[in-house]
Amino acid sequence: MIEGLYQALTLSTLLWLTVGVMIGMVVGTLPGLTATMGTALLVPFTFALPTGEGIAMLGGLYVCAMFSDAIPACLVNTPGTPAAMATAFDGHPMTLQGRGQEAIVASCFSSALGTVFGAGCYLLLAWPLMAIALKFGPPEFCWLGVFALTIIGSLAGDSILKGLGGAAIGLLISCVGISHGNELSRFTFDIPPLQGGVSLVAGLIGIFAIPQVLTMVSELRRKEFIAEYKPKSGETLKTIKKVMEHPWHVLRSSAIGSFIGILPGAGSPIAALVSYNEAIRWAKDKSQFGKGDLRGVTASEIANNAAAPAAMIPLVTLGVPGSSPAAVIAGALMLRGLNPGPELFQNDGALVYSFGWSLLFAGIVTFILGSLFAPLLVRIIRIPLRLLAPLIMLLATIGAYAIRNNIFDVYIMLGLGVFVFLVKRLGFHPGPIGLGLILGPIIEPSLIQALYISDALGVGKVFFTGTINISLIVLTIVSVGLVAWSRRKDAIQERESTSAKS
Amino acid sequence: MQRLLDRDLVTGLVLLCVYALFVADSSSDPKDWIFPILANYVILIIGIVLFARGAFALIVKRLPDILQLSQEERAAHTDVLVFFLIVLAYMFIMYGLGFWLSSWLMLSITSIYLTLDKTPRNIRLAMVVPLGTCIACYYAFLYFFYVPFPRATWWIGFMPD
Repeated sequence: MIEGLYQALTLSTLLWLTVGVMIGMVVGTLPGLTATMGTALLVPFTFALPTGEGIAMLGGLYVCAMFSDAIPACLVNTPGTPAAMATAFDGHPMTLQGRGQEAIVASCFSSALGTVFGAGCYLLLAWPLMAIALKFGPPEFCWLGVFALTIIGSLAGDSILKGLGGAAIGLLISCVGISHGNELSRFTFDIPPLQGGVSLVAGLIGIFAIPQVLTMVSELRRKEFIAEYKPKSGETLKTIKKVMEHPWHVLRSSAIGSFIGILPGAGSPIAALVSYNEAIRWAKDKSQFGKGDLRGVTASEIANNAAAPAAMIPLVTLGVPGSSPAAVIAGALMLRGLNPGPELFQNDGALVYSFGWSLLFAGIVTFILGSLFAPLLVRIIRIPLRLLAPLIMLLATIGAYAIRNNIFDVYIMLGLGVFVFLVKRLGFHPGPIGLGLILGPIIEPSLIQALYISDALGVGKVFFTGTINISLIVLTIVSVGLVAWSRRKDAIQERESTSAKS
Repeated sequence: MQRLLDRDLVTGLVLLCVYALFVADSSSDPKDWIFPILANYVILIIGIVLFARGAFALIVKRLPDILQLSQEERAAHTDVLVFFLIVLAYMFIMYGLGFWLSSWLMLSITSIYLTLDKTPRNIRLAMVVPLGTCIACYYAFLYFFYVPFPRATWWIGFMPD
């Protein structure tokens, strides 16, 4: 481990790591460009570098993209990658309140904390954590997805029914294309490009960015900018202090992110959503969530960044990548003749540990660069809406197109965007629709696999036995119960205050 | 007539339309459809509940939540409609003029349309900012991210992309 630290601390490694972080900043900020795409594009450039420096650069990009996706999420309510969806729930309201810089700095600092925690798990706890993660099979993943769905209670706004309806719409959209079981065409309406399904990134851009652009256009006659912004000195230190006022919240979000990151296939988006949900569940004052609560931003950002280094744990311990960018990094290692897995740990332990340290340093470099650029980045909201709305439209088009080089994804993005813009008037919130779209591809394949297993073992034995299954079911029931109880309490309070006024 | 614009009633109808759109086909293996069927039943139940709630409000002649547009909102919605039509036209001309030229046109036209105070300076700005953006994006996406955007078909041999 110490040898790995020495390798990671060499000037050239730190330099290439910083280059990776800077590229990650661009990749994450642009909606549609994901960390996977960024790392894949960077792989050929890393061949000119020694292995340690090359993968440090890729790791730097991955870690920073998980922070910088929060920038458009906070400023223009458009998540840069799916992992920042939960960040937008409170980050954008903060910007509207003139707290854009605070939101960016909080995202940046939280990302650094999450990364350091996740990298710490990678360096110290890789094997024990992996043993727990290996107990997760299809039914456990299915229940994890169902548990993550309980976040609807927090996102639904005034009507829980519309929240549930929105999530069901999102889940249905995720079903478009070829089925997971017998590869049947579902809901393709005889349109061949729909066989490929709805691209998650294009769908999320449609759900979040397009309604936002149309809302900007509709508000143009009332206001010139998204929000007011006055640069404040000492904002970074104040925000760090505010984040650190909740040490248990930081620890919980980091632990959730690290653990979910280890589970192959779950990834940063689900880590952020579960962490956000738990932040609300454990908070004493829940009233400000969704309206600009700093804890909402930090819960999401800590978890999605902790998940990034943690996703490397199954890669280095078992040779199974925990996320798509981890798979690209695995490919980069294999192209150099190195096989990720226990063999690599035994033969080239210094490289494995050097990568872990590089991920940790990437978190620190991300924080330094992010907090330096935050006052500059937040100036985006001072671009007049008449120029900003078309610019976001162009970036959304590029993002939706670039992910699969398919113009049909742009049409889907536009169609979904208009649909969400219209149903927002009916009281639907885009959050649950996006949640359904993210969780559908996690819940459905696990459900089908679990059902195939249950053909042999029985539904009861597959779904309702085992410590993890029971724990997740209990957590889901508790979460639903708490939502129902807090909503009832709010309704009673509102009724009492109305009658007191009258 | 205005009563029919009750928010619950309209929401219920929208959800019932979504349900009808996503009705499952048949398959020899029910596992192919179990997940969408479950999600669609949720939509059906919520649709019926909201529709019934709206219809009840209609019957008891209570107007709890009507969808209405003020004069100011009408102007705003006209802006949205015009903006959307320009974007639709952009999707169409993209294959003729190529991605970047049509993007610049879309950006400029929408920016000029959305500029309420059409001074020469603002109009110049509405053309120059999109031009700079398109040039920056052109180099970034074509030479760094290698994204093959739609090429011009009406200007083959004349326009770069």
